[in-house]
Amino acid sequence: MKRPVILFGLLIISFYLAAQDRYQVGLMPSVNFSTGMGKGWKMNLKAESRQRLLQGTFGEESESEYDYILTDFSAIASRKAGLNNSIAGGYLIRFRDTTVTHRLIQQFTVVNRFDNFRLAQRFAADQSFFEGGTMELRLRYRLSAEVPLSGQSVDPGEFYLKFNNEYLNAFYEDDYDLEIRIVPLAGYEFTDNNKLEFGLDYRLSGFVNNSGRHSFWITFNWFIST
Amino acid sequence: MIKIAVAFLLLLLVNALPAQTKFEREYRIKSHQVPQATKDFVRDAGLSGKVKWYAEESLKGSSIEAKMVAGRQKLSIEFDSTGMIQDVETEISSENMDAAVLARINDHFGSAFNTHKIIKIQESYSGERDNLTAFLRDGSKRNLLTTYYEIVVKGRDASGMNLYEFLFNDRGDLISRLLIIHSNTDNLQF
Repeated sequence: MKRPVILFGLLIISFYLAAQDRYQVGLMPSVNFSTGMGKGWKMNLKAESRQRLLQGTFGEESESEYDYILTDFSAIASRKAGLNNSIAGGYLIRFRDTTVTHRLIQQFTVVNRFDNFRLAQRFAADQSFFEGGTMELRLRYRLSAEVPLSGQSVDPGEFYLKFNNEYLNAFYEDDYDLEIRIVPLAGYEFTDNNKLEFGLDYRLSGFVNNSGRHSFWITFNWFIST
Repeated sequence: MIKIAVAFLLLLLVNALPAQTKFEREYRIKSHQVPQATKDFVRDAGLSGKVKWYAEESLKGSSIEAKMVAGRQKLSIEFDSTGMIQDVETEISSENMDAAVLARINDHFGSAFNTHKIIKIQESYSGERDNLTAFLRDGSKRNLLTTYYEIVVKGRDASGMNLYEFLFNDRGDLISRLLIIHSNTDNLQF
């Protein structure tokens, strides 16, 4: 299953990789902390930052300059809705330069366990509120696959691979944009409640109506829970 | 904002110290790493096809497992660390079970749960090595083996919907019931 998804992703990238397309490369570390709140509820707290290292236009010289772009803090409450699925809702606040953005998040996730891997589907919607009273609506779908590199399941002290593919439909006033994300990651499980992942978060946006914008974020994700 | 971020990270680091958890680890091993006795058993049982070898470590000790497909059946053969056969498990459908035993097992589920669904049935055989190899070769000497049924059930009771692993003997008497704890899905959800 991995191979067709990777090939599809590369096909999308190669099709839209054109001159005049802008790109940026940087770092995107995040920390996720989850804790139970009783009666089946769980709270996830996340902090994520984005730091650009270089940017430019394909075919031209790049501009290498460090820029701290933004910091996100989010709190999402989730509850199991069935054996394999859960619903969640929460809030994110984004600090970017002098701008503060508020976002509401709703999501439904289904996780299925197969013989040698786990597959998750996440359906989400978020509403971002900007200064001036405007709002952006995004409807999202993400497919994630976690494959152990040793044995039939990921156990403590073992590495694994994870692959995310997400599609975000963004509606802002009269504009529409589609963003595609392809995220290959390598992970290590210290314990079931402590995992570290490292990889590339590739994002392609703006190609529906304009030249594409390619973002390459080197990502470190730390997941801890109690 | 930086002070807030640092304080948040420090809070997370304090809580990152791992708590005591049940230790169980399974990992793939090469055929040259398994005792010869395990490969002799597979050969004597007349089993052909690709074998995947796994080592399993838990608080109970370590064991070796051979997983393969024989005919259309998924077969799992468990050995101790010296290569001595422990049991043979094969996944079956409810249609392959004795109707009276299945009815007795379903009655038990009916009284234990408001609603339930059988997810997987594994038939497990243990006994003398020669009897096990004969059974795997041609189905003979089954009456000399001890049979158990390991059944994974999705059941709803007062505590909600959960996944359980039940062990029954060949008459449908309950031996054990375990709650299956799902591994953490935070990295797939968030």
